[in-house]
Amino acid sequence: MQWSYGVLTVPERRSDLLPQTIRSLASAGFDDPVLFIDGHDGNDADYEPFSIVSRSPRIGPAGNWTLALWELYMRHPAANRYALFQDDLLACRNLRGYLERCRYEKGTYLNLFSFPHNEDLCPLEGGKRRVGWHDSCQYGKGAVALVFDVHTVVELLSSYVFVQSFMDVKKSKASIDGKIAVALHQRSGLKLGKPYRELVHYPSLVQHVGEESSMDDWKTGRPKGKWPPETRSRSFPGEDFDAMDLLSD
Amino acid sequence: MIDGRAGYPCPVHRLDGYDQRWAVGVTTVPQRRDSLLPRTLESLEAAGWPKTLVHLFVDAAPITGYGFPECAVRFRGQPPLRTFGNWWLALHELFLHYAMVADRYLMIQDDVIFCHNLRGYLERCDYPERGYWNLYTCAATGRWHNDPVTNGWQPSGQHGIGALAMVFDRKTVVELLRSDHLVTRGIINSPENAKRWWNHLDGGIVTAVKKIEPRGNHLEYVHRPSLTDHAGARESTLGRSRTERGWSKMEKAFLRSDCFVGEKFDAENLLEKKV
Repeated sequence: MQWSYGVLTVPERRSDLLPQTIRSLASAGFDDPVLFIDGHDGNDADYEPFSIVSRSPRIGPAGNWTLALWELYMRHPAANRYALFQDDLLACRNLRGYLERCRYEKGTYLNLFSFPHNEDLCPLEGGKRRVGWHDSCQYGKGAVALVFDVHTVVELLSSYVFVQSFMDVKKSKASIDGKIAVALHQRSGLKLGKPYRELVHYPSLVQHVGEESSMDDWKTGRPKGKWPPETRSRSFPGEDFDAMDLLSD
Repeated sequence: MIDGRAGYPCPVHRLDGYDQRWAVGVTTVPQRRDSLLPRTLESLEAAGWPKTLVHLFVDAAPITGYGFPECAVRFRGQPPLRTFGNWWLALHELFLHYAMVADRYLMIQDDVIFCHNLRGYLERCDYPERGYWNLYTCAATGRWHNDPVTNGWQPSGQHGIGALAMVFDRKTVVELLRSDHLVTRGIINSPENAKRWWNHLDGGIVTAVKKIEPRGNHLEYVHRPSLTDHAGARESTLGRSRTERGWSKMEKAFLRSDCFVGEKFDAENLLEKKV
C-alpha cells in the first residue's frame, strides 16, 4: 500500500516535541515523513535527513495543513492513503501495519485521535467498549492525525465550502479539524447520497501530548494557551502497545 | 459592465496612484537564481510591483543562503514539483495569505519582462466580470489577431497560450482552487500520461476557467499590444531540451511576442486621455 504522509510543525518545537513525534511515528511505521515547517527560519540542518517544505512568513496551522495535503496529493496522486500528523503526538507501535489491515470504508476519513467526547460515543458490547472504528460526533475534534483515501482528498480539496472558509474573517482562523468536518459533511461521498463521515477508533491510536496550542482562538484572536487535561484521550494504550495486537481482538 | 465575449478598448484614465491590493507570486527554479529571476524582478519593479510585494516560490532548492531578502521566499523539497505543481501551490499559498485582502492575484513565471508602469495601467482597466487576464500575447494566441487594429483587451482563442503572467480576481481564484478539472487531473491521468499532471499549466487554467458555472461564460482575455514578453527564449523548465532538437514552427510562435511594446514603453500611454 502506497502512503503519502507528512508532519506539520513550527520552529519552536524542533528541539523537543518534533523529535519525540518523529521517533514515535517511526516506531509506528511512518519513518520518512515530509516536514512542513511554518515560519521556517532558514536552517536546514536542524531537520536532516528529512525532506522539508518551508513557509515564511508563517501562514498558520490551517493554511499549513491545507497546503501540505495539496503537496502530498500532487507528489503522489496515485497513493492509496494520505496522512497528516501534527508535531505533538505519540502513536502506537506498528500503527501503519494495523491501518493497512483495516478496511477503509468509502465516503469516510479516519481520525486516529479519539477525543474523550468521541470515546463516549463508542458502542458498548457486553459492558465494554467495542474495539474498532465508529462514527465520531462529526464536529471534527482534533486534527492531530488524519488519514484519507484519494477520493476523500479530492472531495475535500475541491470543496467550495472548504476553500470559501478561508475568506471569512472569523472562520479563516478557525481550527482545521472543524473546517474539514464541515466541508466533507456537505459533500455526498462518491454519490452515495449521504455525507462523508469521520471515523474514530477505540482505543485511540495516537495521543496528543502538546501542552500549548500553536493556534489562536478564532473568536478572540488571542493565543489559545495551554490545552486542558480533558483534551487528552483516555483510551490511548501507550507507545509500547503494538497496534497489530488489535487484530486478534 | 463588460460583455463577456466582446473585446473592449483601452480604458479612459481615471485615477492617480495605486488603489488596488495585489498579491504577487513568482514561481522559479534554482537554475535561474542568478540570471533570469533577477532580470524578472527588476522588470517587475519598474512595472510597479516592488520586490517587497513579491512572494517567491522556489521549486526543489536548498534553503540556506538562497538570497532575495526583500522577498518572502518559500521552498519546496526534492524532488521538484515542476511547473504546474509549483504554480498551483503558489496560487493556493497566496490565496491563503491574502484571501480577505487582495483584489488581484498576479502569478508570474521567472523569465518575464514587463512594460513600464504596467500596474498603474491594469488598475485603470476594467477587470472582466467573468474571466482572467493573460498578460502575454503572441501570434499563437489566436483569434484576437483577426483584429490587428484595435488596441485593448480581447478574448483569446481560449487555448491558453503561455502562463508567463496572469491576473485573477478573488472570485476567479476561489473557482480555480476548487476546480474539479484541476483537482482531479492527478487521478484521471495514467502514470504513462503523467506529464499532463506536471505540465500544460496554461491549457489547464483556461480549461478550468471555461468550466466555471455557468459554463462557457468565463474567458481568457489577452491584450494588444502584449504587455509582457519572454525574457529567456532558449530555456524551458518543462523538461524539454529545445535547443537540442530545434524549434517547431508552432513553438516559435509561442516563444516571443510579436507585439510586445518593450520594457521602456510606459503602459499608461495606452490610456485614452480625457478631453
